[in-house]
Amino acid sequence: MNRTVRISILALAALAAGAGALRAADRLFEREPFDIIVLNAQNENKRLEVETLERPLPENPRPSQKFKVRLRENPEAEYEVEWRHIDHIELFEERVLAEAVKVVEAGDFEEAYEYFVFLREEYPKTPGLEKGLEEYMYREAISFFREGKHAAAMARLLETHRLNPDREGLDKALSMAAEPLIDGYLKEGDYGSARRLMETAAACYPRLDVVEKHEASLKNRAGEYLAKAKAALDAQDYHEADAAIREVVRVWPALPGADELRRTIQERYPRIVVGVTSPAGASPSRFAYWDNWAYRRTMRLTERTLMEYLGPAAEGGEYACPFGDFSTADLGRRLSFDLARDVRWSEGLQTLTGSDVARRLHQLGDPRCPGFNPVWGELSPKITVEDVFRVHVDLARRHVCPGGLLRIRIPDYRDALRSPEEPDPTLGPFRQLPVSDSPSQAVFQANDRYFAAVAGQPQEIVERSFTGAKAAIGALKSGEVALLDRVSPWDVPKLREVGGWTVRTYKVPLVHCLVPNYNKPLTGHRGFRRALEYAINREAILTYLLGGGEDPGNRVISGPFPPGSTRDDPIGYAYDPNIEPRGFDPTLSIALIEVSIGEILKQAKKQEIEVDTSPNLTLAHPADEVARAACAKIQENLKWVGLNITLKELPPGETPVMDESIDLLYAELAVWEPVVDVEPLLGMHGINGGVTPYLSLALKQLRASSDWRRVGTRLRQVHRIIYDDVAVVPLWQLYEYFVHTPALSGVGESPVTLYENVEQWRLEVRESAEEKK
Amino acid sequence: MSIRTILQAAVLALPGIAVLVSSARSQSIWELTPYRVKVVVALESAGETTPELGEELVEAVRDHIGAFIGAAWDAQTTLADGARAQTILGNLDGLTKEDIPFEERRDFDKIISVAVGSGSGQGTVRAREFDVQTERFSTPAELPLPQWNKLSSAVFQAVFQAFAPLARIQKSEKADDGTRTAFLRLRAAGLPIRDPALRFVHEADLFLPIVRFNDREGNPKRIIPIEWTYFVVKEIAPDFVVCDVVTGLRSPLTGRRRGRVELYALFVKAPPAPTTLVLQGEKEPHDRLSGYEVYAKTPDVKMPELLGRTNLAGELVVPPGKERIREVLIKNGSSLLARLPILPGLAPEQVAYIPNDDSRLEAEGFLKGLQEELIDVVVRREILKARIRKRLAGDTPEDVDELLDRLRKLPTRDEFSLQLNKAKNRLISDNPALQQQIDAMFQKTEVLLGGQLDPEEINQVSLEVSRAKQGAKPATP
Repeated sequence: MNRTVRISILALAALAAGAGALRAADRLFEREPFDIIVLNAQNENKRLEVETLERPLPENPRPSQKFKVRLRENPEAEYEVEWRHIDHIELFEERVLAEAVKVVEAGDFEEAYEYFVFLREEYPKTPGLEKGLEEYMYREAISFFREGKHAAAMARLLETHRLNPDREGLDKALSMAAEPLIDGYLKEGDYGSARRLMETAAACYPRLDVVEKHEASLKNRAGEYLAKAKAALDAQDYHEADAAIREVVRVWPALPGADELRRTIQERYPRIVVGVTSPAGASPSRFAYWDNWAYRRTMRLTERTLMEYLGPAAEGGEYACPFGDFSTADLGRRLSFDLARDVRWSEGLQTLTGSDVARRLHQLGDPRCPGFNPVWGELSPKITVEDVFRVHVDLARRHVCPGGLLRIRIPDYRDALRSPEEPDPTLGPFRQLPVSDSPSQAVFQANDRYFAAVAGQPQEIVERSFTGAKAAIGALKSGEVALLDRVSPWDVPKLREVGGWTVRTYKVPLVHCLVPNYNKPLTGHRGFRRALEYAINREAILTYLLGGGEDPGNRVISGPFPPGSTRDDPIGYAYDPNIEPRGFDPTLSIALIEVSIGEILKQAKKQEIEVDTSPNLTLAHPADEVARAACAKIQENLKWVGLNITLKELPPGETPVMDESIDLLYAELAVWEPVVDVEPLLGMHGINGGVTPYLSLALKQLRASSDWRRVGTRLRQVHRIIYDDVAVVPLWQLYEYFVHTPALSGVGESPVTLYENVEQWRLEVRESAEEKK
Repeated sequence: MSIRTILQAAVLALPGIAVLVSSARSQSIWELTPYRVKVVVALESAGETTPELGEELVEAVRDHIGAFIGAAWDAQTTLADGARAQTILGNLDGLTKEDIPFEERRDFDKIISVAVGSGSGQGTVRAREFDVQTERFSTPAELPLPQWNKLSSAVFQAVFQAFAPLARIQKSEKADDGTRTAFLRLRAAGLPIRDPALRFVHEADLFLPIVRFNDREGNPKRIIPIEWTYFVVKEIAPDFVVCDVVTGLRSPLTGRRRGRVELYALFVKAPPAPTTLVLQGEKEPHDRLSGYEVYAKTPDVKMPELLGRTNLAGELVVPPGKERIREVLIKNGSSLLARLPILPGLAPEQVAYIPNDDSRLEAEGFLKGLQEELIDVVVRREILKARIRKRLAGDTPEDVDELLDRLRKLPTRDEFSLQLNKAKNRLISDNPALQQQIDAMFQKTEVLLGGQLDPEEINQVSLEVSRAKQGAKPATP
């Protein structure tokens, strides 16, 4: 309860004398705010520290007018003071500002910053604050400039201008700061940043020398490129014309005539830039089709395969032969290809014939040939060619999914005399150029002999790689790329909110798992592998990866096959929903690890060999954001059970391959046709370097199954055995996403791979506001 | 023609008699019968080889044989001409019985083909023997020829190296420790070799047992080596060559054989090369057995070395090891199916017919998975029980509901039993022996399951929880 006490002013001053004891903080603004009343000479000019007064103070108070105060040292008591006793009042914020000005004058800008932040947030109406701030900005700008920190100096000068556009000498200072910055940007070829800076400076002072000088220079340079582009267009050298007009856009996009020419070139030479976070690498292994996202993506650009997967269907996948008609007869024992007559190779004058296909099919079943497929070999195919373009394959017995076995490229067997300098002949729509303008991009140019070319299709696809999602999304925003492939699941909810952008889901999911190295003592032990599965909190990690996004298809799994998004999703035909994923149980995991190590040592002793059972494992993972984030979490989880995990990120685009330096491999597998894919992935020469007799037997039984009912039963048995063996540590099924701008059309609702419909892609040329900057 | 040759001809002319004559007499005939050897030399046309050289060579080789071997060989040497010379020079490794003229097979025991190649710079001499009785070719012997003036000597050495002594298997014995010994009677053993430094057989040499089934005329109906069996020479006694029998069969030599049957042992030498082992099912249609584990046992090492698993074609390459004869173990899961001695390099491929064990393996795989799952559940159950009791002891009975719920949701004994019974009806074999093994495995698992996951334990924990909760409530009047 407050109480009002009438007391003489001197007595009040005496009470205030002990206030020094309260001054604890060094910096005034960090202390409890208080005002100071300075009494007049009659009252010996005493200074009273009082709790903050009500603001604003009256402008001309009557001398006899009283107001109430509370002394800082005795806030319980309230006193009344008459204005006639007061000489003046020093408000808290005025004192803070005064102190800030002193700090600025002393050149301690770091310290001053905090004063001004405080004042702007707490006392924005403090008289003189703007002036003080202006001085602070200007002085700090000068200081930065002297230190060679031109960008910081520029920022301070722009703020100074905002506070006081009429400040004398500011235009000169701005020119001095802008000059080295613009020069630097131009030297790095960052015309966009240079232009933006020039525009900013010009907005302050329209006729700034430095801006006028550089603008003229850039327009001149852009003009040269424009002329070059026109000349190349006239010469029908569209690639060159496109390269030159891109330079115009880069240097000075607002150059008169640039947009028009750009549109013309884009019409004649459609070029689309795609942002990727998984760039194509140079090390395709035999597992690349299943375990290398970038390989699968770019394969559709540079190759067409004899049969192509279009998506899941009622029984296995749906396939089509891009080279002609495919049919089956004799209860599936006879396969026939009727090839189109005009399927030309990219080089030479030859077309694809039945003998090319027949030879490849022979090789596929010949153990002496690279790429031999033992399953195809077991079918004892008898291959005949009829009328040059018709190929018949008679199988010893029916296979439920011949299309899955025949996802093979056909080489040009007549190219033996080709010189090594000549590019490899292809039947694909594009060829990758050997060199690119930048190491972070891959350029694919249209194959002008492509048999399935469509008028208006892209003539050039550029894949620009980004190491992080932020930069990639930025590039999509700026229009630098028209599509961003494989966006991280945690970014999807945010991206869906961006107006105009289309976020699409790929048709079929990937199965993420840890592949154990069977040839290492620990990971080669079945019990230890089970312990790994119990140690990883898969539900929690998946929730983390999804970033709050919800998609029923993204779920923890119990085996290496995709369950699909619903229970009756046809892609889930191999997945046994009755096998529940092992739960997270670190205590059980610790117990299993201990028992497993004991067994390994016992066995080693029996064999009289030494084994390394130290709990240090290396986990290799591909260079993508999901794998990186997931592996970091797995590393944390395994630490809890006493396992030290060293993470090893593979070079971008490289297909993960097991070697002796790796204990565990994070794999993102495309097991879209389990009946065909399980054998090469987890069979005798599978990705984990071994197979148990149980799985080997189950795979043999699967191979012998020639109808879908038996195949389904066998595959579910395979699932069970892989679960028991822990042939892989199953993690989760994840659908992948891509996002594109409204300018791009024809990509398809839900493709299997990005370039599935590349012939239909169209890019509308839009005048990008961002580019103009 | 010597007396010995006449005797031999008489024996050959009366094929059935050989097995009927008394042991002592047949012994004397066999040991005193020289090998009728024909050496056929093919010379590659080159600057050094002239028709005169050829004639001189065959004479010189004959002289070498006479000088070094003597009475043990009744040898003829001849120069191959025309097509035969081309065959010997171009395809010595691929020679077949049909490449040997009928007359030679009729009149000789051993036909040794010799290819003299001039090569580029240094010549080579290669020789390969065809044994008429067993109809087997020897592994080719190869010698470099640094000097042409040593040609006849080189040819003789190659011929001698290619020569594979033949023996009759007199008897075999099995000791109490299971080891077997074979007693061989070497042909021409009673005839001295002229050069005392030369011997046809040494200790540790290998012989391959071969059974020859003859018709009434004494012509072979079938000639088959006794598979997975080798004789290792242990001792060369005056009357017998005593051998250790290394075999993968239970009774390699004691099987009942009807009719006109001759048991031979032919000297074998294998180059250091691999042999592809092919596993096929014992029964028709002899499926290729893939995924079977193949181990090699080394005498001084306790644990066998895993060579690999058979591929989809049931094949696995067995490389030469430290020991010439490698003991190979075939496993399918935890079951040892066969223990086979193999001599890598003797043949490019060797097929082993073994019982198809797949149904037992399938059952083993299922039961192993089930047992591991059972262990996990038992451990989880114990962990949960311990955690619940710890909380009860810590006076926080209200916090145990979630743990108790998890405990109750763990798979029960009945659920495991159901799985077991379903699998038992599915995993059956038409092979009674395998079915017996499968039944035993199921029985073992049933016993294991019977001692675990007692439902009473969960009831007990539930009771403890409810008592603790009641105890925590204020006493009611």
